[in-house]
Amino acid sequence: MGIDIQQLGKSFGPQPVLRGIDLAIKDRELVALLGPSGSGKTTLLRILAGLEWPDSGNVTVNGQDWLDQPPQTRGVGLVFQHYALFEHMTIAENIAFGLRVRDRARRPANDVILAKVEELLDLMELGGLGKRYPAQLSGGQRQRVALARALAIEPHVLLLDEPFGALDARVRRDLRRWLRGLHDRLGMTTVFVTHDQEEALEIADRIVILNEGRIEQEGTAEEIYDHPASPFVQRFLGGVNEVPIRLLAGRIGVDGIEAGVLKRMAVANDNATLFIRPRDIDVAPNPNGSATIQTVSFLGDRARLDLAFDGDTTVIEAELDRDQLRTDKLGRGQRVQLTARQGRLYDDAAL
Amino acid sequence: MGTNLFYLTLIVLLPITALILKTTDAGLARFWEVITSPRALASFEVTIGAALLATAFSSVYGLLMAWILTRYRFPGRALLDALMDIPFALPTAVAGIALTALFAGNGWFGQYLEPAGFKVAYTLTGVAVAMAFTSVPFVVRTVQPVIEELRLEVEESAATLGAWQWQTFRRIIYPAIFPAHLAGCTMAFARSLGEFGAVIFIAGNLPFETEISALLIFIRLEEYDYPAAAAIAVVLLAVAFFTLLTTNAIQSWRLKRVVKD
Repeated sequence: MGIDIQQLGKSFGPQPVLRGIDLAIKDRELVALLGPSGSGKTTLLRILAGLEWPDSGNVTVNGQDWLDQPPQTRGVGLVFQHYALFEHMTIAENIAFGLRVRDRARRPANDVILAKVEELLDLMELGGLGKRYPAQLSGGQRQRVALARALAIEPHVLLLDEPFGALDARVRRDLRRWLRGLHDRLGMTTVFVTHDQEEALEIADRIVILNEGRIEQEGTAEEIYDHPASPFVQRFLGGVNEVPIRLLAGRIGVDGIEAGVLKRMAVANDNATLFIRPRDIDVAPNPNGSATIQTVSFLGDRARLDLAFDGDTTVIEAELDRDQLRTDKLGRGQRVQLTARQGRLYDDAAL
Repeated sequence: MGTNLFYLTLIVLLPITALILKTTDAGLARFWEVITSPRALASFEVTIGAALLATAFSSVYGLLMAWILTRYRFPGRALLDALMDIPFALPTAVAGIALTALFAGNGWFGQYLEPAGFKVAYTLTGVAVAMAFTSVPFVVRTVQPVIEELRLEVEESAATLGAWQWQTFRRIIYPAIFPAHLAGCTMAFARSLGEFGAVIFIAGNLPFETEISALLIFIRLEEYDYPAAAAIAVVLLAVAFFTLLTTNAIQSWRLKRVVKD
């Protein structure tokens, strides 16, 4: 089901958390709400779940006003970071809960409920664990129980609040790929909240970046990564070098970094800052180079270099293949020349 | 461990053993005669009956107070929270006198209740009121921390799954606080069985009607009839012990079902 959000505003006391959110989520879309803590992403999700009410604005689902409805009748599946399982019930009872609390007219027969539970246990790769209690399962298993419990009521909308935040790195990677597969198979509309940009970029159809209660940018992973709309988005997407620029004969220059290949960018004056991703910096050994390698950090196949200029406290980060480290014999203390392959320019007033 | 056991023996087990030994001084036949005497039986009935009434009240009222103190923020909450402990801190005789003054025919409550047909002072109800007054904090204070620990997200999950408030309470919240609630009620009941100071003022202490066992023990002591006093005390001890054992059994049965990590 498509969700239409219009001009949503919400304050906690004097503190505004949402300042006019407009967002249309398409049917069967997987949308990530990405933002730092305090950006309003969780509040937005909770309003969709019916656990929080906005001060202004509308939420319409399939043409129906959703703000008219309590959480009980919205038919949303909700999954929290810390699972929120019913500790005194078995896994099977947890999953069956949403069906058991229905009124008699809508409640399926007991054997139908039990069959549904078995089906979900299999779907979640939890076969044989139905009689266990939540405390006897691992974090990853518990989160799958929480998902199964949410899916038992066959929700049209699945809402996930930092669903993988409490899990360790490997489980988290496995589970999010599995979630993407599940979303495609079941054909729901899924909205999930995260502060992990990698997670959002990997599995979402569309990413909505929130900052201080406003939508900073929305788009596919490529759109957002290749064309960040603001310095905030670029910073949020991960380590970026911010260097002040000089204007040299109409071209952008940066102290210590060759930026001549950067395409001509229109700037009125030199009150602007160049954002360069670490992977967009070339590092070449050069005894007359302006930078010195300070540290080399291991990143698997790649390595990160911290580079410093003489008489300057600025540290530039560059990322390159470890193969290059070996062929060019790059190491600590070596002098190198830096070249920026691409970057984005922002007026200092926007920073 | 050794020290613990030593103190436990010295402070708890020794007096209880002495009490039981004392009853055997006069022989089993005398023991049976004492505890089945009409006056003793009536006192057991009054004591246990009133204690059950008081516990029934405390279980509901205490749960309600614990819920209000943890779930609502209102002006005066901290004060109310502190007031909860007054029955613990107050000398029970003071509580007894205060309650008698309130519920006596000319007291603040009594002057309206008695014409309406509710006689509290010098009746079984009065005994129960005094017992409830001194035992309600047991329920509040055992349940309160457990309610505080309940995660709101669990209730919110239940709501999105379609559970209405009463269903969430019955199926999610109450099962979670049940062990603590049971423990609180048990302690309240045990305390009510032995309550003396608060009760004797409001009870009127009419033998066969409002005379509690603790008072009967006291009377027998004053008559230097130590074996009879001990015999009645042993019965109270047995009831309290049986209650504690039963609740422990219920709790361990439940614990087996929910393994905590």
